[in-house]
Amino acid sequence: MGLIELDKIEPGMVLAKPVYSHLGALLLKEGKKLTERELLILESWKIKEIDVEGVESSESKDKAVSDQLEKEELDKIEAEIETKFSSIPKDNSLMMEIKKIVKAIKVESLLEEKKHGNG
Amino acid sequence: MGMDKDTLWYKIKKMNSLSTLPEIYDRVSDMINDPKTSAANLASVISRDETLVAKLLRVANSPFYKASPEKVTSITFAVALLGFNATKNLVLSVSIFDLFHTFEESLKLTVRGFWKHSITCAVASKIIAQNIRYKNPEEMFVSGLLHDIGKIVEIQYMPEDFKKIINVINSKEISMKDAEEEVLKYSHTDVGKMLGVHWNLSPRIIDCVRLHHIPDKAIDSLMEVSIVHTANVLSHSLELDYKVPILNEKAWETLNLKIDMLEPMLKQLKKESIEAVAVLFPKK
Repeated sequence: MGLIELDKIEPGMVLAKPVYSHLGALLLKEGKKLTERELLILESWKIKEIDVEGVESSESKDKAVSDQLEKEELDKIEAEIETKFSSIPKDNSLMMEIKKIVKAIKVESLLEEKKHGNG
Repeated sequence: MGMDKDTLWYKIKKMNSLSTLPEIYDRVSDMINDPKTSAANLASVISRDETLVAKLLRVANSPFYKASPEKVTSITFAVALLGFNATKNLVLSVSIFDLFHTFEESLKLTVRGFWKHSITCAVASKIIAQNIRYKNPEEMFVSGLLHDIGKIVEIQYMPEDFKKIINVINSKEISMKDAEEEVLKYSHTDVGKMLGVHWNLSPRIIDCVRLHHIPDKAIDSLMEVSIVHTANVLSHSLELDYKVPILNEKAWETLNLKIDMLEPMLKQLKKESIEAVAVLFPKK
């Protein structure tokens, strides 16, 4: 099973996990075989990706690519943030919290960029 | 020795483009002070400027501004929805960029960076204001947008001094404010205050411009200055080019925000500041 994007879905595939709308309503049950009708439902609810049986996840492929570059890029983000916060005393807990959050946001947006770049 | 304060004050008053805010802003301000003005009156004055109407509607409907869940299709609707003061602030927010234009080629990137930071700080000010349920988040948007306005005056009217300041920052690794004191004996917060006084902006906005680096000094506008000070720190922390200034404890305490709020606010800021730059200061 694996998470795949909507444009790679074909009729006949089987859902490995249930699909919910953005508001949390159950749209399709686990084990449901996908026909044109189900594809239409997914499309109209603007679902971007679903989990299906027996397919290699497009996300895990992306992850393999990102793992190769990750170390170098994480180091770069780390260095940038260290420079930015270099004049801040380490015992300033409020600023250290901001630093931690900013780092997480940078990492997240880099992964996002990459996902789009490969997709 | 850089340009002295008196010469700069004389220059600011003499410059046509800076001598008043755009005419329409002055008109809107006057009308708002007149109790007989109706929303329809105000809308009809604004509607005479087609470019302004297009800009206002674009911003009112943009995701970061979120004026209404429904699409805002007319200025009359916008005025009724936003109220007079928010409309006035919005007029200022979309017109300010046109006041500054004759720049040297070598400073173009600096100018773009300047506006990006100003817009980010405006969005951050608005986000903080909304989170603490401050009564007038639109005015905080304007205060954030204008907090560094003195810098753009320096870039436009004293580019040689500005370049000297940048050299001092780079060679001595000191803050912009310290480098300005060295070259000019005053800083962008003083220049910004001059312009704010000349433009007849509200005392709260002028305090935000003047005191955003030293919020402890604020008396009447402690809340407003604390919002812009904190917004400035959060904005710098997300940008790449400058060192992050330290968040003043008194400012943070004044806001009375929980530390858990930082993460959602920073995430919202990251997203909405990109949208706001795209709407307010699109690449030409």
